[in-house]
Amino acid sequence: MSEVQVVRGEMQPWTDHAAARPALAALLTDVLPANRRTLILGPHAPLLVETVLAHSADVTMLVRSVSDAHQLAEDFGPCLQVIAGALDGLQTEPYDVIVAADGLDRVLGYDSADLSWSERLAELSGLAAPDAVVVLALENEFSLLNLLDSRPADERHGDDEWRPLHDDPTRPVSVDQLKAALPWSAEVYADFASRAFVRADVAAAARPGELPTRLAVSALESSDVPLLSPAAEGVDSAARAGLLGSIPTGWLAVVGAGTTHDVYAQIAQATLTADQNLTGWDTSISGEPAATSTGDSLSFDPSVVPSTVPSGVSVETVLFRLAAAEDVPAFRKLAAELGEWVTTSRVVLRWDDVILDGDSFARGVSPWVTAEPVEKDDLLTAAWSRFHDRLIGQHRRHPWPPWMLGDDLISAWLGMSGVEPPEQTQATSPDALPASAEQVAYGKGLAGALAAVLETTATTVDVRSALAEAEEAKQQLFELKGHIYGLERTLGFRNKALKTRENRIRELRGQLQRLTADHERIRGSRTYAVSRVIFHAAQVRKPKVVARKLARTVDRRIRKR
Amino acid sequence: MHHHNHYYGQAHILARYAGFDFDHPPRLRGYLQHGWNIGCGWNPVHEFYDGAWRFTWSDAPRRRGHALGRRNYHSVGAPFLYLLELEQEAEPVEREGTLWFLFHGWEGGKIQGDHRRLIDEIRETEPGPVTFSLYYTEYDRPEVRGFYEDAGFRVVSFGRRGFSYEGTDRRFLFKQLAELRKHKRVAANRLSTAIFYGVAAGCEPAVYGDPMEMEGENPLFGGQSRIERLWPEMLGKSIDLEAARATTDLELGKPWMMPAAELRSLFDWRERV
Repeated sequence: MSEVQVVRGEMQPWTDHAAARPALAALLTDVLPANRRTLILGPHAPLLVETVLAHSADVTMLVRSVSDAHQLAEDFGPCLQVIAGALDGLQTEPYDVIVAADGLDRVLGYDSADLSWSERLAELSGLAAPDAVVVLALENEFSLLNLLDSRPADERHGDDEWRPLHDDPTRPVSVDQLKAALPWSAEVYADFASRAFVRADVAAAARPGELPTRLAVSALESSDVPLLSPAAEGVDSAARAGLLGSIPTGWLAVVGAGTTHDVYAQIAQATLTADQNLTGWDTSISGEPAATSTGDSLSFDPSVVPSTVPSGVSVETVLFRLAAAEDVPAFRKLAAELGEWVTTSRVVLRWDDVILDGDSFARGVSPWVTAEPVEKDDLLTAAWSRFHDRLIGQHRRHPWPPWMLGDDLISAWLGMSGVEPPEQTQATSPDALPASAEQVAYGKGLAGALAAVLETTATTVDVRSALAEAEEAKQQLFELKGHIYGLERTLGFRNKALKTRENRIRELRGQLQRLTADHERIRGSRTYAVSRVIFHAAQVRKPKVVARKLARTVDRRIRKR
Repeated sequence: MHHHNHYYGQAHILARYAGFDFDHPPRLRGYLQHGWNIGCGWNPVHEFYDGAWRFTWSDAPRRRGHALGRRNYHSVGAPFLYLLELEQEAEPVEREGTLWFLFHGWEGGKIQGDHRRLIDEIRETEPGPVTFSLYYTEYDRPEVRGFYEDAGFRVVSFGRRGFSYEGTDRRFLFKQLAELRKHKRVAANRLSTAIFYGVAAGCEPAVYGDPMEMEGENPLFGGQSRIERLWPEMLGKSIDLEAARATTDLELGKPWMMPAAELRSLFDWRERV
């Protein structure tokens, strides 16, 4: 274990948590020059330290926590010179490279002077050589997650806010302010929850449903910040306004670096990089061994990610719009086209990663696959199931009634995509599942596995969704009462119909009784008896024969006497 | 659910299309539009229970209803279109003459107008024999029916729409379709459901003559003048058939028709114990 140097301003006992950020590691790999004297400023996860060490043998790391410093020294040994203390306590020769990817919020101790953000920046710039490569992060106070944070201001920050950091008036809160505050010319990346880094100018040009916006939504959806409303809607609105670069969780300023990619995004523990071309994106995946199993039914296979992806919007974006417009015919048409396009594959299908490409479609950057190829119908089920969860879960507008939601609606969409509906079966109990439940079961399982590997946060419910769900429960009660009223009205109409029939039956019965009485009276009359004799006589066709028979009968009776 | 859903046997047709018993259609969870109109699909004072779902023929009534503060719409296409699918023409007969529909009143309102003048105009206009269709409310009024019988027209009526599930002629639309398929032209003195049905059944449409007045007619939705502004292509003695067909498809909601399985789900018609 190498010795830890301690300078003024160190903290003990204390520790700063630092998360692994694979996308940032990939960005640093592209940014850092080789074999230059390097300073890592502030807490950084081991993955990032390793990345820096891979570029230079002369690396110093300054952390304020003594225990963190000892741990780093133990983990990295003599490769890394570790200093415990505060930024303003570090007196040393300038560095060729400074990596401050954690920003300047955790570089001072409780014993340090109360330095503003710009004063901390001045301290940092004092440590940089004139042509230094600097990577500096800044948390965005205007970030969408901050704006939507459901916690009041006094509950948002932890034990490290012995002095408020976030209302510092010198702190930049936009790309332009950040660029203006820096003493160097810098390339700025929008940092979405440390999972996606998008070059600021690329982010500003991104529109809803396009690749940078999709990656931003996906990154923010994995955040565990308790929100007032879902982030996706706000991201889309910002993108429509050309403000995607203004609402990330933070920015990363890169000074003096060489060529970098437009986008770095974390997918599992790997990184997707993307560069805009004339028609779309050139993509590649790095940092993950091929075909890694996640332990679930899905695996990560970078080989299925296409090397070029068109620039269009996702199918999900269009389907959301059509559902909101209640334009079922257009929705049906698109679903049918998707049904024709999908084929058996190992890649798990998701409409938020299928792109409208002219008259056809193209796969996006999702690398999640099953072990064996999945039938087209099951892939479609997985895609519609995920779409259902996002449409309903995000309380988006749509035209389908509540009793249809769930398996029946997924089955209906499958029907639109050309999948034969299941045979209806008579339910054997009130709780019997519909035939659609069995039809969609496997595909729903795939969608569930995909949600698990995408780490979409499902544990924290935003306030608006919670209110909407409460309101929905009230609405459901209201509508059920209406439904009962409607059923009572139906019974009333039916009752009226029965009354009408009852009266008619009564009338007919009365008529029948009268007719029967008349009939009986007629049968008992002499007129009727005579008429019967006449009737029978009229039946006689051969009167002579009858007369002879009659004469013989009379004759026999006389003789007997 | 509502007894209006049974009018003209519409619920019966949809039940048959969805694979259920024609004579006893399952309860439909909501309100089914039973005639074309220029409003939200129902008369202005129609009662709806709270949170009711409304199944319109097409999207326009949904939009108008939405503006009235109503929600829970889903357009399904007119049941007459489903009937056309169920009762496909085996052998097309040679069509002849005009099936003429007089704007009809209803159980709560009778029509008033100059029938004599209308007859003269029909004679002047129609090139072939005229079959005159009267709704039973007019058919049962000898003073109205007599005008047309005396004019030498063949007068027909397709039955009653019923009330409270009683007296509904379940084959009302079947009979109307059969008559339409015999005629080359369909005409009326107001743009109405029958005209759209006629166009859907292959007739050339015409809308002309005294539109007549109905007692208690509610002008809330704008009346005849609004029709003239919105559907001028459907008015006149000689109408562009292609334009009429396009409008008809839209008004009867042809693009909103759906397969039987989807209809079963939408109407909550899954088989249950």
